[in-house]
Amino acid sequence: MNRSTIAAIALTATAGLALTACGGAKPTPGDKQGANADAYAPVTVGKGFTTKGGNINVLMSSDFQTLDPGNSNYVQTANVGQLYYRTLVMAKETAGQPPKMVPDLATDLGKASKDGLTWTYTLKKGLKFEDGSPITSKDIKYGVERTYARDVYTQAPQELDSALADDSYKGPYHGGDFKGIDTPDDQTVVFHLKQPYAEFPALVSRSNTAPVPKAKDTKLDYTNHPLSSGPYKIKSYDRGRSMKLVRNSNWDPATDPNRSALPDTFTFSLSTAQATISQQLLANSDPTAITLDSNGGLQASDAAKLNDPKVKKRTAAGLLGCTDVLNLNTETIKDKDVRKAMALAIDRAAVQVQYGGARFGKIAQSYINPAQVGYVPQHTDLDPAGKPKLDEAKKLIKGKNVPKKLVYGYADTNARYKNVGTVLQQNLKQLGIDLQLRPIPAANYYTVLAGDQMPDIARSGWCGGADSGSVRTTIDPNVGPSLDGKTYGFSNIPRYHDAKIAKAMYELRGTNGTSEELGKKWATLYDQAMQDYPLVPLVRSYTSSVVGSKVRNAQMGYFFGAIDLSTVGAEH
Amino acid sequence: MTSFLMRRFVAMIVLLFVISFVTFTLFQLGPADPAAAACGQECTPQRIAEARVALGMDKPFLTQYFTYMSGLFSSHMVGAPGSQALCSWPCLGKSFQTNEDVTTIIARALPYTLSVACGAVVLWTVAGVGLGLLAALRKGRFTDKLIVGGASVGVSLPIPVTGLLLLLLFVSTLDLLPFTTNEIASPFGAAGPGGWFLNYLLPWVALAVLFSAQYIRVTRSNMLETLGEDFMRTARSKGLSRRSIVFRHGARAGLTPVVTMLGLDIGSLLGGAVLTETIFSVPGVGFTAVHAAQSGDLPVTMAITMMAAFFIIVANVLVDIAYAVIDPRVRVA
Repeated sequence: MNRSTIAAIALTATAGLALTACGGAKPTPGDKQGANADAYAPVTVGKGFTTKGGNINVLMSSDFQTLDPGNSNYVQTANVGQLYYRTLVMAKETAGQPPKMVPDLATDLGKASKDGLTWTYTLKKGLKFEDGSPITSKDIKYGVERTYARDVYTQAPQELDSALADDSYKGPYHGGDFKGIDTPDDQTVVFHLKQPYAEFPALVSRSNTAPVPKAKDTKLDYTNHPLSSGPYKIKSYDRGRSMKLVRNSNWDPATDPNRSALPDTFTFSLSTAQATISQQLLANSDPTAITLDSNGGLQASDAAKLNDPKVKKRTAAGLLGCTDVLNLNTETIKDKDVRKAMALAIDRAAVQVQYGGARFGKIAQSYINPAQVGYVPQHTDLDPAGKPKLDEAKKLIKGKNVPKKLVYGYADTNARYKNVGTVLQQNLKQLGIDLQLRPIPAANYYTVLAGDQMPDIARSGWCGGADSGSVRTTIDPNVGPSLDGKTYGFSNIPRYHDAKIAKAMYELRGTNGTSEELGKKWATLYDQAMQDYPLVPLVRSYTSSVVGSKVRNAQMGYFFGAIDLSTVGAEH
Repeated sequence: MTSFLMRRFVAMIVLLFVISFVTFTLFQLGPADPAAAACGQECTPQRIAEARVALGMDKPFLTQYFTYMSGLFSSHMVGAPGSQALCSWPCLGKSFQTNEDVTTIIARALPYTLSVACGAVVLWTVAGVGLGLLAALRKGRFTDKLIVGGASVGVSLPIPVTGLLLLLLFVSTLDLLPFTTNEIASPFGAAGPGGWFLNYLLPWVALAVLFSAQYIRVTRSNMLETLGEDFMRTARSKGLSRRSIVFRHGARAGLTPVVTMLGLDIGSLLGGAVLTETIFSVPGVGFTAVHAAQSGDLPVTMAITMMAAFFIIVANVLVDIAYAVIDPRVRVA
C-alpha cells in the first residue's frame, strides 16, 4: 500500500471518527423516546417474527477459518455452527444479556455428583444426523476425543479439555482409551473432572461436545462437510467464495426448542470486501442481507449514516460481553499508588472517542458486570464518565519513584490502538512520564503479552471466556494465579500476583458449590485485587449491525458480536 | 536467438530459487508466528509448541525449506503428523489456515485475476495510447492541455479512492451496475460474456484511470520526441500522408517504451491487483495474498510470491524478446 493510499484511508477514517465523536454524546441506536431511555438498550429488528421460508444472505469479508466443531475457537464458527451442529447444552443468546444455558442434545443441564467431580448427561430420544443415523453418546465422546489431537488440530477448543481428568490422552489417532468420559449406554455421557467446576454446563455448550461419528471423521478435511446434527446441512461449500445451507430433513424440531430455523436456506458470500459489505447493507441493495463481520461490517466513516431513520429502523444493536482494558505491568510498575495515579490520569472519555465514540462502546468501570452470575458491586475511584482526575493522581505520586519512561504496546493492524497510545502519551505526560509507543504484530499480540516482551502498558479485550454469564471465567484467566497457585497465570497479562488473593483464588478453584455462591467469592476477591489497579477498564463494546429490509428477528448476539443466526428470519 | 533464450531461461530459474529462499527466510525471521496465531488469546507455551509440530514448523529451517521446494519436483506427503496426505505434483504445500492444497487455492483465484487483468489492460492501453497520441498531435492546444490535465489527476488518484467513488456513484447511488460478485469468474460461466463484462467493468475502469494516465504521459512524450526526429522530417518531405507518418513511422518508433511498460505491468497484474481485488471483492490472487499474509499462511504466501515473480520474470523475458525483434542491437548485446 503506497503512502497516498494510506493517507486517503487515514483521512476517511479520521473524518468518520470525528463525525461520530461529535454525535457520540447521545448514542442513538438504542435510544428510545424519553429522558430516562437507556442509550445502550438492545435493539432487535422485526422482533416476534415467526414465518418460515425465504433465504438469508450472509455477507462476509473472508471465509470461515474452519467449520469443524472440533477445530474451532472462533465466534463466527460458533454462530454458524448453531445451524449445523448441536451440543449437549446450548448457550442461548438474548440481545444485551449473557447467553443462557439451556439443554440441547441433553435432557437437562447435567447432574453433578455430590463431590462435583462427575457430571452426567442423558441424550434426548430420536436424535439423528443428516444421513439418518442415530446420534449416540459415543459420537459425543468421539467429538471430545478429537479435540485432544493437537498434532492435527491447532485451533481445537480447550476449556472443556482442561477441566477433564485425563491430561495424558493424545487423541483418538494415537490409540489408548480416554478416561475423561464414560458412555455406559447409548444415551448416557459421564464426564470426570479434575476439580469441581460449577460452570460445567457452559463448558459442554462449547463445540467440543458436537457429535462426530468415528466412521465419518476425515480429520482436517472434516471442515469441508461436517455431518449435521442441527436444523441445516451444507449443500455446497466453495472455499473462499460461497456456501449454501439447506434444511436438514432429519432434524426434529420437537427435540430442539432453541432454534427457530425460520429461513429455508442460508447463503454465504465469503469474499466481500468490508467496504462493499457496509455499502450494500446501508444501501439495502439486497433486502435479505446480513453480515457476521465485526462491528457489523461498518467502517468508522459509515457511523454518521446510522442516524438516517431509514437505516436506523434496519439496525440491530446491543451491548456485548466484550470489554477492553489497559493492563499495567505490575512487574515493571510495582508501586500500586503509581498505577492508581496513572489510571486516574487517563482520559478514558478521549479513549472512547478513539473507539468511534459512544455509539461503539460504553465507558467501563470493571471487567465484570451486574448481568453476570455472582456479581457483587465493585469499588473504583475512576470517574464514571471517564474524565481524568489529575489533581488526585498528582497527590498520589508525591514523593514516589515514578518511572520516567514507559512503553505502550499495541496491535499493529488497527489504527485505533495506536491512537489510544497517543491519548495515553498526553495523559501520562502530566505525571512526568514519557510514553513510547511500540507496535506488535497483531497475529502474535497475545503471545507477546504473555512472554518476556510484555511492555509496561498494553490493551487487551475479554468477552467473558468459557461462560460469559459467570464472573469466574473473566476473573480467573485475567488476574488469577498459575495452575499451582505460586505465581500469576499464563493469561494474566498485568502479571498481577498478591499472595493472599492468589491463595484464596487457588483454593476457590477446587471448591465445590453453586456458580452463584462461588461467583460472589470470586467477585469479592476481584474487587480487592482491583484496589491495586493492575487494570484500567476502558470501553465495553456496543455493536450495531445494519440488515436488509426483509430481515426479521435480527438480534445482536452478546457472545457472537454479530446477528444471531439461530433466530433470524426473512420475509418473503 | 536460441542462446539468448537459453540464457534468459537459466537466469529465470536461478532468480526464482533466490526469490523463494528470500521469501522463506523473511517469513521465518519476521515477527509473525503462525503457531501462536493459531491458538489465540489463551495460548499456553505447550499449545504453541503443539501447534508448531502440527504445522511442521518445529523442524530446522533448511529442512522446512527443502521439504517445501521438493514439492516442485515430485509428489510427497504433507500435513500435520497425525493427518498426513499425499500432495500431488506440483505440490505447493497445504494452507495452514484451511488445509487445502495451495495449488487448488491458486487455481481458484487465478481466473478472477485474469478477468480483472485482461479487460483492464485493453482499456488502459487503448485509452492511454490513444489519448497520448492525440495529445502529442494536438500539442499546446486545448485538447492537449485537457488530456494532460486529466492524466495528472488520474495518476494522483489511488485505487482505493477511485474504486470507492465508482462504487458509490454507479452502484450505490445511481444503481446502474451491480455490486461485483464472486460468482462470475470468467465470460464462459452461467452469467455469460455480458454478465462478466458488467461484473468487471468498474475494476477495469478503476485500474484504467490510474494506468492509462501513466500511458498517456509516456506515449505523449515519446511521440513528441519521435515526431521531432530527422527521419520524420524526411518522411514528411517525401510527401507521405499524415496517417502514414504518424502510425507507420512515428508510432512504431515512439511506442517501443510503451511495450516495455505494458509487458511489466501485465506481469505485475497477473501476480494480483491487491487493492483493486480487495475493494471490489474479487477473490483473485491479490485478495488471496492479502489474507494469507495477514494470517501467517506461509505455504500460500510462498506460492503466490513465487508465482508473481514468475509472471514478472516471464514478462521481462517477453519484453526482451520483443525488443530483440524490434531492435537487432539488443540480440547482439
